[in-house]
Amino acid sequence: MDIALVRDLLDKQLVDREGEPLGRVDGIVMSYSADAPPRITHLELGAQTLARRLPNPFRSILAWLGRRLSPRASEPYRIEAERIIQLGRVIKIDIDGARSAARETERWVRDHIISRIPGS
Amino acid sequence: MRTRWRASTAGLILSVVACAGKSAAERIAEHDRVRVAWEETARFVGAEWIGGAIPDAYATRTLDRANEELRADSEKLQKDDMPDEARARLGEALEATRARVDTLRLAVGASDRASVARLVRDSPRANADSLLRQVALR
Amino acid sequence: MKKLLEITLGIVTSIGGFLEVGSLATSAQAGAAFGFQLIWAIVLGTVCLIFLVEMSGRLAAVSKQTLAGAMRDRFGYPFFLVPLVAMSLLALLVMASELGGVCLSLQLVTGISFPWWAPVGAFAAWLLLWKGTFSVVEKGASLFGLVTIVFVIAAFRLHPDWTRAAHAALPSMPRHEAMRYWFFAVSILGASIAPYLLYFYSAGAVEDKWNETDVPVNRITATLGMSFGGVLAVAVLIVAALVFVPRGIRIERFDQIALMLTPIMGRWGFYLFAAALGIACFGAMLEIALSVAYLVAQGFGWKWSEDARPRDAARFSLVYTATLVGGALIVMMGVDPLAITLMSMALTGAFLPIAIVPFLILMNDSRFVGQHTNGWISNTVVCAIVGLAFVLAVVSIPLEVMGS
Repeated sequence: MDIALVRDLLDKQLVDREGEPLGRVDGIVMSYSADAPPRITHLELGAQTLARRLPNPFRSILAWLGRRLSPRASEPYRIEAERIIQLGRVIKIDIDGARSAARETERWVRDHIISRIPGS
Repeated sequence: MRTRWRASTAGLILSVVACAGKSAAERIAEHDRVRVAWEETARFVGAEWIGGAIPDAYATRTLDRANEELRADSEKLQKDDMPDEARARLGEALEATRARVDTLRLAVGASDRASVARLVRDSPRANADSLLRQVALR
Repeated sequence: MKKLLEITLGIVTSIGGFLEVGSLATSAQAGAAFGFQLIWAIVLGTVCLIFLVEMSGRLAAVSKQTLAGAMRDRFGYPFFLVPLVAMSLLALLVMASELGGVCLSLQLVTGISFPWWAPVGAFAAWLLLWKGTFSVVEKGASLFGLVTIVFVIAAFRLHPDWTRAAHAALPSMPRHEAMRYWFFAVSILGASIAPYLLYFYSAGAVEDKWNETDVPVNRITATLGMSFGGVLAVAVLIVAALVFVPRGIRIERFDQIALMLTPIMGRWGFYLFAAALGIACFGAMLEIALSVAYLVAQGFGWKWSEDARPRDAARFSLVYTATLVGGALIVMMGVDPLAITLMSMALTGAFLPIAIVPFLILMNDSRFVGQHTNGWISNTVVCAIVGLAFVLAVVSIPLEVMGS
């Protein structure tokens, strides 16, 4: 099947097994060696990845901000290419979204900010 | 190449700005329009207040606002570039308007319907064009 | 029967987004300063908005994506930041204007000039979003928004010269104060063509699970709904023209606009004006807060849903909360509400190309809208009007700023 990386993968919406949003494909990781054609190994998500796609003055500012705001997320979150179940309007991933690290910021915001407000 | 483009853009903007700078006649007209707007607003407020169409709080606040705006315009008048004669006439007109608005405000504050009715009826109909024409004729 | 109900609900919904402080202030000022002359600006703005809203619904129905999501999808990440940042900042300014409108309304009704009306209004809006669902927000704001019909009634009661009004639907050159005229024209265009409405509408369509069969109904809904809004704005202009011009009153401050309906309806007119202003602005606040949240959440792929509980769409809820707080802070800084309103409307006009050009490209891309790509009429009309708004804005804004 023909896949155009930018058209069909990059910036597309990701959903988990249940169809709940996981984020967007912020980056694609590929591997290639002298004797094998390039292949996609991972889909990458996260602020680090997004920062890298910006031109230089913004890149360093955002990278610095990212390190300040979530020191634990020093590595961007990667999803193995094997976990892709379906490509299409959205990309379905074989992952349990509720526990996935992709939703870490969402859980953090929920637990530290939203839950503290009554009625949530 | 880039600097030349930048220079010509700057030149274009500056000339547009220069043309847009208001002439003395326009500045005079502007001051007069502000004066008329608030004089007539005050009259409107008075008329509606007598008819019971607006609450006291709104009437007094709007008249206070008219007062503030006229005062601010007087101050602006002193700084504007225009012939002294025009400045004097406008200044007088603004002061007269402000005095009338003040009187109206006091009357409303005292719930003196008779005075308000008299002021609304008797104060001169402000006419923005006449002052401008007078100054232009000189 | 179901379709009929859908259309009616759709129209009622569209009302909520149209007449708000921007349209009210710009139409009233234009009417007081230039009589009927600027009716053409409202007509042009409404026509453009009809096309844009219809496109927004069509995009959602066929691609099953919202406008924000489709933009990230098609144009990718660094580019997406441009409309994201520009539209969000602009929305914040507009939010502050709407909140200013709500504050004025409360002040008119209670007689109390209360600096804390701003946080009160923002909190009320926040509470409704926090605890309410999308339908409640949508339908509630619109149903109550019907009070704005009072302007149409007032216009009829004044017996305007309808022929003259009709002639004014065609553009004309100003006879005096040319710069102000064009500044008002672009402010009216910016007030009518509100980009936030497009993000809101497409999100609603996706949340209501529209599909291709909804495309024809969407066309009717968009046309009737937005036309109604346009009619309201024209009514405001006509009333302002007939009330203020004969009295020689030029609108300088918001306080004066409240006198609009009293000659026609007495004390009732005063309170109806306050109610119309307050309700319309409150509805707009809800839509704007949600639009910014949709833009950010959909652009980054987060869970977004007004129906979900806040804890289930945490970052989305955080964004609309922050928007409301930001708006309240701006109002509390004490900038004159009429000035913020006019400037934000004019800036909207200036920034329209940033929001609309990517949108037009999407609407001509069959990967998103399949067979339902734009016809040449849609493309031409939108390009022409947005182009006009941009040119007017670039020319008139700096001059107006320097002139005042």
